[in-house]
Amino acid sequence: MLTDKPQSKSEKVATVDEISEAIEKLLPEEWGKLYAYAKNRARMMALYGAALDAGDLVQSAIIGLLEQRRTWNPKKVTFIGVLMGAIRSIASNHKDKSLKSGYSVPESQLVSGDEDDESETPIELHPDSRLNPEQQMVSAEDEKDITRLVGELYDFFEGDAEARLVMDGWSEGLSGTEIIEALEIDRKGYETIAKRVRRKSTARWPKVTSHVS
Amino acid sequence: MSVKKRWTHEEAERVLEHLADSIETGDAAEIAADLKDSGHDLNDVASRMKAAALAGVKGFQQQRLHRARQRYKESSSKLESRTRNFGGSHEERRQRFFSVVEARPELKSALTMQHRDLNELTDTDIDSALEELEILGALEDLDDSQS
Repeated sequence: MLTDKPQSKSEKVATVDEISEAIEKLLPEEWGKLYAYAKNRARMMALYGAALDAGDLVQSAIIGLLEQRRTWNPKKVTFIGVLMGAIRSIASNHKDKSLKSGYSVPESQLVSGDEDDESETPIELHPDSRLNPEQQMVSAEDEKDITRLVGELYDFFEGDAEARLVMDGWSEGLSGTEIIEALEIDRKGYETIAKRVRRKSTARWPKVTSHVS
Repeated sequence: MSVKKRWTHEEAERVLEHLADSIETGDAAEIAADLKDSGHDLNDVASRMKAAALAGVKGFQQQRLHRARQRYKESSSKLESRTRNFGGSHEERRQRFFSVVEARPELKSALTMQHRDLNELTDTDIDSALEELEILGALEDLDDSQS
């Protein structure tokens, strides 16, 4: 369970030693998963003007944990789980702040009016006007690239009707359960299709690079 | 020939959201294998992510050190300013306090609510009251009117 404030003795704020130990214990596969997740969230943040990479988000998540903005109960949540929760929160907070600050996406794209949780973020957020020239350039490229990337992903599945239908459902805002019902498939079948799309989406991501100097 | 779907910002975001869910609930070994299949060097990814995490720990420690230095600096200058502003003997500071209270009757009522009888204030109470009055700007007002 991930919360902003400690709720009980078991949900305490992690110490530097505990976090350092957990970092040392993570397996390469787990770092890979964390990278894939953080990269995905960085892409989403780029839709709202952020110029960050996966490493920036992991670093911020760790600082957030140590700065007592998050609690961690190792008996209930794995280290990678708590980090993904922190990254999710950073991303949704960025979106919220960007929308409140009047950030707008390019004319050719639509703006989502959704708002997420209001937890604090350790990252200084970057609506377009506040970016330095280098970040503005990266950010501008990313916003275009991301819609293009999703489009290319969809195009790749031209011969895979199931994958396209699932992606259509996602793009229309349907939940997994709604898609399962609409397509009359079972959860396992849905997850297999989702995995297929996910696998291809990882192939579309560039190798680890740092956007922020 | 099929017509290409035109993707909006909002649609792309929703797709990414579902992909994030799939990664979050996915098996780490499977995702790592996908990364390897798509040309990533898993060890390189792992070492970069680990370095980022360790940089987070270091960043936090540096921030903490910075804040400690800042607090030390602030308390040092506060102490200096107190010595400068509230210099003199206990009796002189007490006199100064009562001068302010006399000059600003509205403060007297606020202070009597806190302490009931101002004559029973200890030297420490006087010092902290002077500190509060300084924050309110009442000491400056008095100094200005006296000069």
